[in-house]
Amino acid sequence: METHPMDTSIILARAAGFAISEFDGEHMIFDPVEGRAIYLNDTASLVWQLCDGHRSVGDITVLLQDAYPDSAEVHTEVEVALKVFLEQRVVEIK
Amino acid sequence: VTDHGRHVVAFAGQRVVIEWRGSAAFPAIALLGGRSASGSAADQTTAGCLTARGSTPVTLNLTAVGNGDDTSFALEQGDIEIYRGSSLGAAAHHLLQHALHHLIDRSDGGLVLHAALVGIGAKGILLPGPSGSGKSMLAAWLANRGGQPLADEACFLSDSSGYLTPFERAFCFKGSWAEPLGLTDMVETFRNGDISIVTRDRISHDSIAADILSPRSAAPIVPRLLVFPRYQHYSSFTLSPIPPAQAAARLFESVANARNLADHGVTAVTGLVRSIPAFSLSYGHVDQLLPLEQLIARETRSL
Repeated sequence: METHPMDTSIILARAAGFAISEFDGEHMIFDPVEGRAIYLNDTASLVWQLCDGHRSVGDITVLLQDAYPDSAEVHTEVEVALKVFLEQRVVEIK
Repeated sequence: VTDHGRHVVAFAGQRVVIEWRGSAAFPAIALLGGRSASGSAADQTTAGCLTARGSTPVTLNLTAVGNGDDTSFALEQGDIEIYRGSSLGAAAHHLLQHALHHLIDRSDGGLVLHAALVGIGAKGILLPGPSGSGKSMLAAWLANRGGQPLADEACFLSDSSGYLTPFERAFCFKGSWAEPLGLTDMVETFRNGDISIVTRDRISHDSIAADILSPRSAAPIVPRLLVFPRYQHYSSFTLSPIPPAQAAARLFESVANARNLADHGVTAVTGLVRSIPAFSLSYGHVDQLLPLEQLIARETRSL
């Protein structure tokens, strides 16, 4: 499947209307409309929390690269997580 | 000889009434709650419903007409015909499914989970999963290892007590379940397509029979362990702990009455996964399940 790199200037915000439960740095997000729940591991939780309506995709990637300088996969992980968030509509483009 | 009766099934704060007529219908009634529908046992079942909430319960009518091979069965809800035909197994399966459906449909006051439940004393091993995930077979296998087979399909976790209540019925197995359990010579079952309904009084094979036949514990069942099973023929065995957030997301897939609950069950689900350990299980044959037995022994001893 062909994938396109994300526009790093996009600003994302966490969508409203979800029930959020936090468990030791991980999250479960429940969508009462769709009746489905989404599991976010610690990395995905961090990315999701940084979607504050002010930071761009590029900002989030830089922050996490600074936080995890030894990890070569940060850029990919952020992009994968954000694409999933957009598909699941737990974040929205500002 | 009784040829008609009224049977009341209570679960999750609701009731379903089954009016039955024709002695040939009686074996299907007896599959629910594991009790005879005649005489005092029916009265006991009704008495057990006095604490059930809700107004007018749904009434299902099961009628058997004719004799021997010419017997036909009809299951109806008011003017709606649910099943009509010559198969007692099919009528029974529809009865079990519709009774549960109506009980779940109006349930409140707690979570209804699509889950099998095995009791180790007063400690409950919850096995949530969709149809075909292997939860009934796993519950039957655990029964063979000393557990109590309390439910094969649904359990109620009360908000007020925190206790689990099983939906009591005969076990419904999907597909070729008998061979992995070593029960290939056990042919006396009700059938509906690839579903085999195993009654308590027809299983008479080795130790598994005694456990499935045994009455449930009168003690309240406290949830102690969550295991999400996935059965697939010949698949490899894995048994892995999963973190609470992941367990919560998976457990939501098995919540049957979320729309009836003010918070869609979020409080109850998150409370449950915070309080007990959760594991993901994949298996392809019951011969692989020794590590699960060891895990359950550890977890049920640790309280």
